[in-house]
Amino acid sequence: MEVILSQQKNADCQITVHYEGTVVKCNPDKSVLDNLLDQSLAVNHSCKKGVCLTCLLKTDDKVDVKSRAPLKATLIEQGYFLSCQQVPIEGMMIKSAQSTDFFQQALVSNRIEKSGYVSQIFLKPYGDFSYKPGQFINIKGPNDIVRSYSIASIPSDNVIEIHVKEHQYGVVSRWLCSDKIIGQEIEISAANGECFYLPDNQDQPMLMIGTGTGLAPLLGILRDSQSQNHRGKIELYFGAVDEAGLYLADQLRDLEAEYIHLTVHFGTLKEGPINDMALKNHPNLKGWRVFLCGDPEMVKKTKTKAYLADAALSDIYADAFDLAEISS
Amino acid sequence: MSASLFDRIGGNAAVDAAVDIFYKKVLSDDSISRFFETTDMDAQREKQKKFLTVAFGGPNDYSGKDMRAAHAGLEGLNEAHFGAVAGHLQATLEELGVPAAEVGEAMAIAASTHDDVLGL
Repeated sequence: MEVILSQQKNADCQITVHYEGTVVKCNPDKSVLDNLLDQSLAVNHSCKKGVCLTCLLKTDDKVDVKSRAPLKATLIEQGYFLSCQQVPIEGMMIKSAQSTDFFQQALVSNRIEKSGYVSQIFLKPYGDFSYKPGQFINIKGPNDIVRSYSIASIPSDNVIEIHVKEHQYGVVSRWLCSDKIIGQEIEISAANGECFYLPDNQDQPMLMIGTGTGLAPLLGILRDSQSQNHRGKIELYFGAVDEAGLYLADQLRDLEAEYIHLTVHFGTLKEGPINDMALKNHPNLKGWRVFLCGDPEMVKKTKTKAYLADAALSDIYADAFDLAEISS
Repeated sequence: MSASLFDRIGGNAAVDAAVDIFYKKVLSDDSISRFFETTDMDAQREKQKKFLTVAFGGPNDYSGKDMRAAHAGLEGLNEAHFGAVAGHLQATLEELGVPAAEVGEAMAIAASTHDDVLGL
């Protein structure tokens, strides 16, 4: 009896918010994003973990600190918050995002098809574009669907390189991996994310583990570290399901020949998970900097293992994105 | 007036020293690690610091209600899990050389969270 009463009480406790002139009754235990989606309101979203910044909405009302934590000051100033990280607040007035606030035009200058259905895509933004290699950009695809891609280039390339794996049902990836994409003008966001190289300890050994197109941010970080004269050794582990998935093996071998501090290891699933191989070879990570990019499960598991192997949490950089496109 | 348990254990410095030892112990224990595994390990580590501050009798704004709410979503959480975490807390304190009397006081505070943690 008591349980039913408390449920009724919860049902009475509905919170009302206003979204673009529509009154929305909200479940206080769910995020603003999930509440709007439950009402079949179209809101762009992807990771729902507060990382990809796809679900930005605007409000002049006060919101929780964590729903703005990863945002740049310019976006906060305009009232943006992450709708997946915010619970509804009674009377809250919410507006949809203005795409011109954070998208800019870029020209697709080239596409190079690699093995394993992966393409290197090269973009030239119009106007200023600053980034740190390893950060990600959001790209607006067909039907305004937004997806995140990590940056594999370094600023002196004067072109932004991303790696896109074509997924059978991925609207954005199929569009980017088609021949017609070259020469098109597309919309990209500013670069975001915390997974990049800092030149604060140039003798620190670095362990990099990437699966699939999780190689893209690692390539950017690796080249960035060398352009900033990183002197510590770098052990890069690149894993994929099969040989075809090791789509940039040749370029990595060239870099290995060029950078005296770099050792590259390749692995396919046949030989076991690449993260297991890396941790087996480096059982003690005390003092190491660790970069983990690719499949979210791999990243989560390996982050725990790296911590248990005595890497400091503040030295572990992770970028878990690979599944966003598949989940669409 | 005698110093508080928190001060006798070593205050915030003791929490800082204990948190990595404690967090590694729970993550290495297969019977409970699933409750602590997350991508956002920094946030999880902060939670462990809060818990240790509570157990050390230190200043905190963590009420029994917070403790209850924080554990409410953990499916299958039971007596054995509570005991395992308590064991790791005790081992952590002993590893840091905290005297037996202070360990006992901290364990008593941890035990007082029993009903809130298990939602009883």
